[in-house]
Amino acid sequence: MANIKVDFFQGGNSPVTRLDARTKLLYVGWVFIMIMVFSHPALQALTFTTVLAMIIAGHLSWRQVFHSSRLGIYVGLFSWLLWTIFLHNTGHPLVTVPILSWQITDMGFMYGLGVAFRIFTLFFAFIAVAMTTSTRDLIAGLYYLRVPFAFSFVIGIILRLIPHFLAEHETIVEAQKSRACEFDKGGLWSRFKKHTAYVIPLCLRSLKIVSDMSVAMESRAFDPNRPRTIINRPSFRTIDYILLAVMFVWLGAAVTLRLHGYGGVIPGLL
Amino acid sequence: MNTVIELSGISYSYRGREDQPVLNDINLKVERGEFIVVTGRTGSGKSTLCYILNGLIPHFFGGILKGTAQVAGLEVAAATIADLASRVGIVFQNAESQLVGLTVEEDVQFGLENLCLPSTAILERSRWAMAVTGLTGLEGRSPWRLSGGQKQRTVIAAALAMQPEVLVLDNPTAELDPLGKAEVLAVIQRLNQEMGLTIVLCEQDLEQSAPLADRIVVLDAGRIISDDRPEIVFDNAELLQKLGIRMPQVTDLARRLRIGGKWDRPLPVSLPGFLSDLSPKIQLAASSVYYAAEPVPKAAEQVETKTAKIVVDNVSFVYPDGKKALDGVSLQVFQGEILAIFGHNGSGKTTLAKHFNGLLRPTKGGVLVEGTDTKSVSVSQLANKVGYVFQNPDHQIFAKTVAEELSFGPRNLGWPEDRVQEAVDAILVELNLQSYREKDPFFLGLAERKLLAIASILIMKPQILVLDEPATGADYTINTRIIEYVRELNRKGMTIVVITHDVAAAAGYAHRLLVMKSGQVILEGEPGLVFQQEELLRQCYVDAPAVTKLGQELSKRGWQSEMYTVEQAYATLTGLL
Repeated sequence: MANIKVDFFQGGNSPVTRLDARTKLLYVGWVFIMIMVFSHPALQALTFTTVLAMIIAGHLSWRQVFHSSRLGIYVGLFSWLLWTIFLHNTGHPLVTVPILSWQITDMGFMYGLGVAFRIFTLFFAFIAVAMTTSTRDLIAGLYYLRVPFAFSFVIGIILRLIPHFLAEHETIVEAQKSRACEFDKGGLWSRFKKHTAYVIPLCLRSLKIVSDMSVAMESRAFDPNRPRTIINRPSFRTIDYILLAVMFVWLGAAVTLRLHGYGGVIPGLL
Repeated sequence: MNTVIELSGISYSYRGREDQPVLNDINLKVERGEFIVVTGRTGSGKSTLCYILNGLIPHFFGGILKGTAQVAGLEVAAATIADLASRVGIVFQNAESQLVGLTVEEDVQFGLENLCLPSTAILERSRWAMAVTGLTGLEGRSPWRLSGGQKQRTVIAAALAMQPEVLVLDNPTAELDPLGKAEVLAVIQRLNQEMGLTIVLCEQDLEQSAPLADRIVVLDAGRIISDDRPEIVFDNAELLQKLGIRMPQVTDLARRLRIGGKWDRPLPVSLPGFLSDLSPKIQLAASSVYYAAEPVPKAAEQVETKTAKIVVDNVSFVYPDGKKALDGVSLQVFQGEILAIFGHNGSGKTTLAKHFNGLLRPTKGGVLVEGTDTKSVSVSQLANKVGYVFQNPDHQIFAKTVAEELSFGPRNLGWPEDRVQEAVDAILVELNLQSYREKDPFFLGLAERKLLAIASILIMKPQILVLDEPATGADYTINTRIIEYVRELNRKGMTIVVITHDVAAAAGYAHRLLVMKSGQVILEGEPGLVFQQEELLRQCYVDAPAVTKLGQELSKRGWQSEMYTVEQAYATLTGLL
């Protein structure tokens, strides 16, 4: 357990790291709205470029970003595939899938790509913000955005506990492997039964970790319902105001365009 | 002096177990500035006592609390935990479970933010607490990346920053290596001596903590059995032995000498105390009779055969994050021996041991187990050759009954069901656990859970057993039971590798010792040879047993004697005195 990494924050002093946490949190909110406003992949890609710019300005390692976002990449690619299947009767056929005799249509392809971009963009934006903002600053940012402290703190604790649970999981799997357990061998039922050998200890260990932590926090006078000092009070700088203004104007323009019928793929489908 | 803790008639039962009181009629007074060590075996009520002192009992855990507890001027039952938190700091055994912040500074400031102090006061107090605990310069570091001792000092700094009147520490050094233990005890001693902070330290290992204490309180089955100055408590060594409390080695040695009529003074608490009482006797003996050291019994008989069961050949290992954990390690583990591996946390002990059963494969070099290259077989194929028992039994226990838990390994090996049941019955008899056959393993005591974890590996009939810190979290009684069983297995021919911080115990049962530092083997050999390397041991943060230090002191006075167990020291001194 000595070397586990307990949060996503990469440290450093990049221009993105120096931004007010509220700006970055509002940026995630902005990304969420933007990806919902348009469904056309070209306009989705434009939003995605802002995330890429953030990764570059944040001096983040591409490898780490891709590694941390891999779930989003898989889900995005899978959604693209699903939408091309769902919309195989909509639009002009591009190719026919052999054996299944399904057609891939232009609309299915484009709409699926747009959905994939939505998922990529949200995942990458979240990871980029988490990698450039300490959990403490995120909690403070949420608090000063008027999110109830208990909720903000829970988010911080979850981010803090996930890697801890992963390390426990690794130890438990090793302990069971030492008892000749091969999790990837055998039939479905046999595999399911084998997995209880780590699921049960992991659940019990997780409960113990959470219980120990709550005892430790109580011992340090923690009460989510009492006022507390937030020592790292965030403060907006000129660059934050500029970025927030850009986001506001961009969002306004995007909504206007969409209301005038631009940026969609299939009429009536968001 | 004035009273800072006063417990009168305290009895307590946890919620749901109202008929099983954990504490019974506890009466305890602690004066301001005192250093109290509370000791007792697992389940004696030490942790419960700590929880009462900072109000977690009754406010967090509930249950039934009888009697009155006054701490730092507050009535515990009437005060809130937040009120008590600023007056009573508490530190638990596992530092990692208490780390809330993601940097050292953040962790230290967490409690101060909860107290709603102004930012300037928070900064001032946190800097002061980090300076006092020697953490200056580590403010921005992740506590998770620090050594065990530094992590525990971070937790102490967090408690200290709240400027408590009393600091309560519940087994704070149990999971630390010798260096971490020394660091933490030095900080605690400093807080008490220089700042006058009242300390209540619950500890099972009295070797280093007893000399610091003003008083020792002995708990057993929820009752105070003894409460007095260390010299007086230890003078009743027979009682401590009966209660399963491990005495400092020099105290135990003097006790044995007293039984043999060779010691007539109060039993000493520390090595300097022992030496000061011993010196006149030795000088007297030296002037009256020439002493030639008689051969003393070896701690463990030498292994006759030199058949290598495991050969580690120039192994290096790099973790995926780039950390080099092993660097050119070569060694052999011989048939029928007990090999003990020491080294500070992060020295590479566990990484090395995980190569023995194939959990890790070398980045460079090779590991042969009975001639088989571990790179060519799976972990499960090695499971009936090398058994690996993890430190915490709760990482492997999952079944509904003890019998089911034991049968998991053999079933994975594809044994027929009748053979599995036979093996389960046999191992239960061997460990004297027959009565637990159908019991839920989660409700067993720590000793039984640890034995069950060992049994669930042994049932697969490995010829080599690797135990990763089997003593961690266990008291002396449990530890002794496990050691006795390991020795018994070894007498039957099993090869055993033990990773441990308990140098004194290992010196008594291991044939060979191996000391690691920064992924390399620094020392290797029989205990006598290893303990002679005082400087190298110091560099590896390994503390020789107290009786070995005694032997070294005697050597300086002209008495050549090799001793690293109490039995050997007794045999030597009986000849001397």
